[in-house]
Amino acid sequence: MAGKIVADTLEHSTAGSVTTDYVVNGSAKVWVQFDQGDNGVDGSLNVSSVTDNGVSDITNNFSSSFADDNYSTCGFSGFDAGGQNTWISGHQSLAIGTWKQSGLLRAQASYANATRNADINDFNLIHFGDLA
Amino acid sequence: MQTPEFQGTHLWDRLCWAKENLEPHQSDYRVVYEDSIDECAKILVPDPNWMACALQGGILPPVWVYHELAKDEAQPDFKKHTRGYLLHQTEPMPAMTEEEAIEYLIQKDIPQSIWRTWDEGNRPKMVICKKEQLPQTREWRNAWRISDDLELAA
Repeated sequence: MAGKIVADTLEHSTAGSVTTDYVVNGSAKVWVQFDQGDNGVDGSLNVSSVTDNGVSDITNNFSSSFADDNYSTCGFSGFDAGGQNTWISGHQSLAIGTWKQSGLLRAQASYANATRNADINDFNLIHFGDLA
Repeated sequence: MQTPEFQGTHLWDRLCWAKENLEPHQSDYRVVYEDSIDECAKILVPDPNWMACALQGGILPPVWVYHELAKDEAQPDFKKHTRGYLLHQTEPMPAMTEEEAIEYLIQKDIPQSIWRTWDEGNRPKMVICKKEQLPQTREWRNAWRISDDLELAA
């Protein structure tokens, strides 16, 4: 590919150096922003599709799979209006081998007061790890 | 734009190239399916960057590669993929139409138990539709089911 740089180390004039392993391994391998209200993917990398499983419940399907299910995930949710009192987790009633696989992750957003869930306008997931 | 010769290039690198060089394609197609009587109908939403790759050709591996990896992962002693090279070494798919891309995506991201027998049984388990054919509001979303009165096209 044009513009390819092959290097094992990046060195700064005063701040020291870092091996490019850290750059490669430390980069997010998958990210997605899904608007559940509009039922569309607004931004992504390495995603083949998103499955809307129901209110505040989605599955993120990857194009280039991870080597195993030991990758790390973080999530963020937000609404167009107020009431941002939610957190994101794996699916509450499924075992980990079901909601987290090398090629997909099913995530659920929950209200902190646990009295109701709502469609997430800004459903964000980011995954780090080693690809297959 | 001409796709570089990607066979042998890591799939993730290809996707990064596509993200940089291809315009995302927002598909109007949605796939609605039911895989559990305890859950509401699910809606598969194609990713616009992935769809651009499918339409471009020369980037995505054949869908059977994912099935092979899924078989490996289903083994009780699975620890880690050892055949990830299939994603990168297998000859990429040529350019697809949007409809062909949706068929590919169904086979990749919907359980085989659904798409292999979608029209068997008393009612269809899976329907391809346009986004505007979905209910216009999300009211009672967790009660959505595929209609029994559906007229199926061949």
